Amino acid sequence: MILTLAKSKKKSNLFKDKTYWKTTWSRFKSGDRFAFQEIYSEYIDSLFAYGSKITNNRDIVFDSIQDLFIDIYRYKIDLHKPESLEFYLFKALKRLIQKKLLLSRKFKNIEESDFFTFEIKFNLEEDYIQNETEQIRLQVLNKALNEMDENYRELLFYKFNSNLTYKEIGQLIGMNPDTVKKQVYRIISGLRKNFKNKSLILF
Amino acid sequence: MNNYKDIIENPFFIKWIFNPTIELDLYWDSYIEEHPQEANMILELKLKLRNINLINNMLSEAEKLKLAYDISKRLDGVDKRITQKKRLNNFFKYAAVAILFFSVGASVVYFSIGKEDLVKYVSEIKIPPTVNGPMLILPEGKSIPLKNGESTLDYRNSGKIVLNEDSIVIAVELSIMNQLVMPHGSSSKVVLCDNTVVWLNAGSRLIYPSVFMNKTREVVLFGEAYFDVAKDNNKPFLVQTSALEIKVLGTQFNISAYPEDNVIQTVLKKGSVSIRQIGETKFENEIILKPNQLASFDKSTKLSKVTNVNTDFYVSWIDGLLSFENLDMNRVIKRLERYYDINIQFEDPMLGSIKISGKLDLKQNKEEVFEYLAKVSTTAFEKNDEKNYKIK
Repeated sequence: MILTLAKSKKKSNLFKDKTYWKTTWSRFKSGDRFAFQEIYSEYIDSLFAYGSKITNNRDIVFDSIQDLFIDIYRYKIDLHKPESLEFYLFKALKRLIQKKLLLSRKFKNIEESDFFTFEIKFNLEEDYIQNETEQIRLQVLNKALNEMDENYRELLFYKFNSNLTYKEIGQLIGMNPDTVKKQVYRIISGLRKNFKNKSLILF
Repeated sequence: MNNYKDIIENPFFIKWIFNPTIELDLYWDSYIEEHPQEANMILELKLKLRNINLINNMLSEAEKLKLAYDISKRLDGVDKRITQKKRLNNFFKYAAVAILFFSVGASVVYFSIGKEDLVKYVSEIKIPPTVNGPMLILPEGKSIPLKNGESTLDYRNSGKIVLNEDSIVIAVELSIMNQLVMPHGSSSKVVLCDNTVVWLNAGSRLIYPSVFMNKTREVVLFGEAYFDVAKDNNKPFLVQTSALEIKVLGTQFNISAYPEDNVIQTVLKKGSVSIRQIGETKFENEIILKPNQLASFDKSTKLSKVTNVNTDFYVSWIDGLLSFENLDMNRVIKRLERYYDINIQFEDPMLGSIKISGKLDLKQNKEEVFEYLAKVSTTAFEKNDEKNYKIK
């Protein structure tokens, strides 16, 4: 017996597009706290995951997420025409964290390890591992993924964790949208080939 | 040859892989039906991408709550400053502010995990990321270390806690909230003021009041606990976990809701319980469990599955026994790690999927337990040091 517990909620999620979030954003700015809850619940996980990739310092991530929402509210920031809410949140959070990190460095109350790592760890989902050969291949794949250039890892993070467009991802990491797109294809086609034959030339 | 790029560019594809929902499943089912020539490609891509599992740092529900609460408070601060400036403005603006404050109140309720004081409690106490030993944490940062291994706490005498059935008595205010933290390697038995008995397993936390003063008896659980709830038809007993709320009148059941596990398991031994997802409206989509049933709630798909089980496999841990039938070695090892506070690694991850059946007496020397387990699973345990073992 399989039961759905959250049918109504999830059905609407599919249709929460950019326009929907834009409206929610203006509702939030005009003081509607339900809109805040909605934005918060939708994005808190990815924002926190994202912040934690930039720095290991949890306090900085917490403070920056707080500031992010307060800034939006206090300064009544408007979304520019092509900007999506998601893109704005990522962009602003990145800037806030970087600012805090620089400030902390000035006052030397920060460890070197707190800095920009953009570390992405990939994990192998055990349930899906069929046999030992596949296991070994996955380990090699994992190694390759982890040795990738920082920018590429950041790129994968966006692609797998957000609805950002290639253009937006490109803007966030300072890369040409076409390059971003090509890189995603290279990684995914590498992943496919990897399972077809034994060669492990990935990236 | 189909183009995999088109599939990847479908905005619902990546979502489906990493955050699947029923609607997405339905969407792709019908998509495949309409485009049968792409079926292989889609399923292949799904399978392969699914192999990558990004490890993202996650916030616990309590942390999320605290953060939301902090932001809410600061937003209120912004509002107040704005209100002061505009105090001289006309009545209608005042009315608008009143509505605003009303919605602020509602936002706190929205984030609540039940009662407002629970929220306040969770948001006011810092949860120690790692505790050295078992500990009872009271408000205002007061914490009482408990002995390692097993301990008991008795709240039946109002106004005091009797520790380990002996002379240690702690005086407490009636209304305060208690947080009991059991790290790996320790467990405890709590007798609540209403005679309900809770066995808290290793690696778990339980938050509860000294005396149930509200219309419901509410506790918050992170981890695993077995409840023997005293019957009180007028005061339902509610257990809040990160994603589910379990409501009972009087019954015996086990909940396993470790934040690091993707599945929340509720097993009912006696009586009846109802389970609902937090954030859902009260009366819809409730699951009512019958005795000897197990409800597994998958946190990522938000789906629940109910099966009939032998409850002994799920509750024998309270007697220090671990019995299992046809269970993945992985799962058994996870339990042992929590119970003995050790790390066990598989040399070959495939060993983790060996299915084993049997019964372990965890109170024995752990080496003996490992020896027995090694025999059953035809593996070998290698000791690296006191805390680290390897299975070959």
